Amino acid sequence: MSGNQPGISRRAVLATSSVTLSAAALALKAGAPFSGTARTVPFHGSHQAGITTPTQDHLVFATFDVVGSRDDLQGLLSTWGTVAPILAEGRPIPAVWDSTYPPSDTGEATGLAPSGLTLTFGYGPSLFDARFGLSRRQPRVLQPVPILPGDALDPATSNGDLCIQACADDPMVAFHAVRNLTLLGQGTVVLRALQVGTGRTSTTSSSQTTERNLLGFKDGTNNLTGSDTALLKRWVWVDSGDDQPWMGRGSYLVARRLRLDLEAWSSLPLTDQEQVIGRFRASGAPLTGTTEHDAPDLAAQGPHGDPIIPANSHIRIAAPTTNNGIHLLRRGYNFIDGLDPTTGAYDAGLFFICFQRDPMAQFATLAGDLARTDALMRYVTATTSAVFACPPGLEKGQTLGADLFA
Amino acid sequence: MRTMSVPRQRFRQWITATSAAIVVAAVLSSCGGGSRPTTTTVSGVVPTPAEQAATLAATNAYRTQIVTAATAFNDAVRALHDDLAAHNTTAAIAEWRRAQAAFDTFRPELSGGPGAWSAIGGPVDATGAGGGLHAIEFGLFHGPQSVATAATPALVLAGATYAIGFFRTIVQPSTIAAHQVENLGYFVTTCLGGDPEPWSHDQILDVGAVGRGALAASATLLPLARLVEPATAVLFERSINAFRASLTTISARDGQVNQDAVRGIAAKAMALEGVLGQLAGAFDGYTNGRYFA
Repeated sequence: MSGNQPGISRRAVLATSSVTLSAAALALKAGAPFSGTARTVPFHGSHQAGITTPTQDHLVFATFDVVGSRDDLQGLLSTWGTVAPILAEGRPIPAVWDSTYPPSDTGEATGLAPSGLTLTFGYGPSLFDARFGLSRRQPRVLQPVPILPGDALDPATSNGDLCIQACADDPMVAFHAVRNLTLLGQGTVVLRALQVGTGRTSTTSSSQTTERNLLGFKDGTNNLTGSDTALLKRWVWVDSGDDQPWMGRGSYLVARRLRLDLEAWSSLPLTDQEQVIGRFRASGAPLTGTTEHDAPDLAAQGPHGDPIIPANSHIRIAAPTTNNGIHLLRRGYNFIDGLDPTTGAYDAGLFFICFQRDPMAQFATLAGDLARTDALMRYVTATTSAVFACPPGLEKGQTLGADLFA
Repeated sequence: MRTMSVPRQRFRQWITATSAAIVVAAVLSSCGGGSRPTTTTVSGVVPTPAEQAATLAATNAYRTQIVTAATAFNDAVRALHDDLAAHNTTAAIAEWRRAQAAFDTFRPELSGGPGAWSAIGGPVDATGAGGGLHAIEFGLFHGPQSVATAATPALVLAGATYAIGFFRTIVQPSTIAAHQVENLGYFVTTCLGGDPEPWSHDQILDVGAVGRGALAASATLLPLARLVEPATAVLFERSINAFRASLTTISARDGQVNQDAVRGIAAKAMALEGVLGQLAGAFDGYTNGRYFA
């Protein structure tokens, strides 16, 4: 029983027993195969996985408040960085004690394939307040997203000190990862919010088809992909000379829970829906085109001189050509959280996630334009909002958070 | 006797001129200037004289509803400005409520999209920043009152800009129906399901005003619906009546929204929303003959 072992936690054991951990992991790798042949995405690399990685089917996004000390935080990040590659390989957290204690791994993913699991870690603006002595490490552009027209934000679930974005092709695998990383943080962090996403709404690979969102339209046709190297360098990856050197090769994540008024939307005539979006629903083509990837002709006019793609349509307002070329890398997911208990209306929508080099110059600028003029915003209410600095990827042997605390 | 400073006098002169312009424009808008004969509906059928008359009656009634609300809004904001200058908080709160209720009526017709909506409604911010009616509410119910005072001139301008912009809007039965679909969605998700007035928590204000506005706007379409889609019109009338009846249950004895009734009201609103959506399609092509406002 854990009560017989005061002061011992999973993380303490893991953090101080790296040799044991490595040995256990090796033993598991050698002798405990798992079923399934799904892809494995390496955790290690120049950039964190889960940004340009071809978008998986499921998301579990968790935010945390840090309740421990600076040393606790540093230790937890180190532990997370050690455990994450094991989880990404589809392996359980190694057992470090016997069965008289709670198991090291919660077990629900046992036997499941790796499912392309990626774990992406981020630091919120509040992490850089006075608590942990990190104030001078805060990137200038890491600021809360300004409140936008139409926002109805819940302060209890917005923002946060830390985040973990877990994406996988199996929802259980993603949840398992977050659940176990949270357990490792007991005493140091508490969960602030948890969002489950079901069904990707963006593609980050040219090999993937464009999915539909809950509005029934294809979403993210013109999203950046992992092969857009020059655009990624320009718009997604932070340069070490931008501001804080520790953020070089990292990126900034903005997350917005956008509740959609599905009842009203599905009551709109199809032509009205298409005017709001600026695309045909069936084909995904712009109203001036015939196929999904036709470039929208924003100058085309109808018989009475009105623009064919309406002035307040979503694709016109969001188009890089009308926003000084601004690009974002989107990785959004649908969410379906049942019914609003007050009204009986769907509590569902889009959990919008995007990555960029400068959230103020990119997301805040673009979202401000959308909130002010996009006809779609009549059907959208942002209920949570958060921004996080996602540091660069780790190479083998490197420690998560080391550059931050150096 | 109060004396007005020169800037305040100018402000009053300006707002008086603006109000006059609104009245003139309202009259012009009801004259049907720029009309051309109706051709055919979307299904290729030439509307009958009765359908044309019902179309015109619906659009005129709706336009009157919106113009009346916009005029009431501008009157209320003008009075609000004076009340704040006189530090008469009680009167200012009454005018804020009148302005908010008027805004709730014309909000679905705001031209220019959510930006204009936000300029009048104002983003909800923990500091009251951002202007609009929410800044007024913040100043009146949270304080300092100077936030409300500072926000008033821009609100007057936004209201006047909206009113002028509306006269360039072509109102057709299909757009009335589509806009009320969105309005009923707002009624359910924001007015009933949220806390639309975060400083006063005056939920019943929005529920009542948006509900009544949606009801009145929907009712303008009923005669045309009976001619164009008789079967749907039966359902439409039943939905209108059910929604009207549900609105009588919003007020509990304490003047707040009766939370036990919310889900029932929402169900009636969503039912009406669905029928309106069907009618929006059926009305497509029934025009009042105006291609240019």
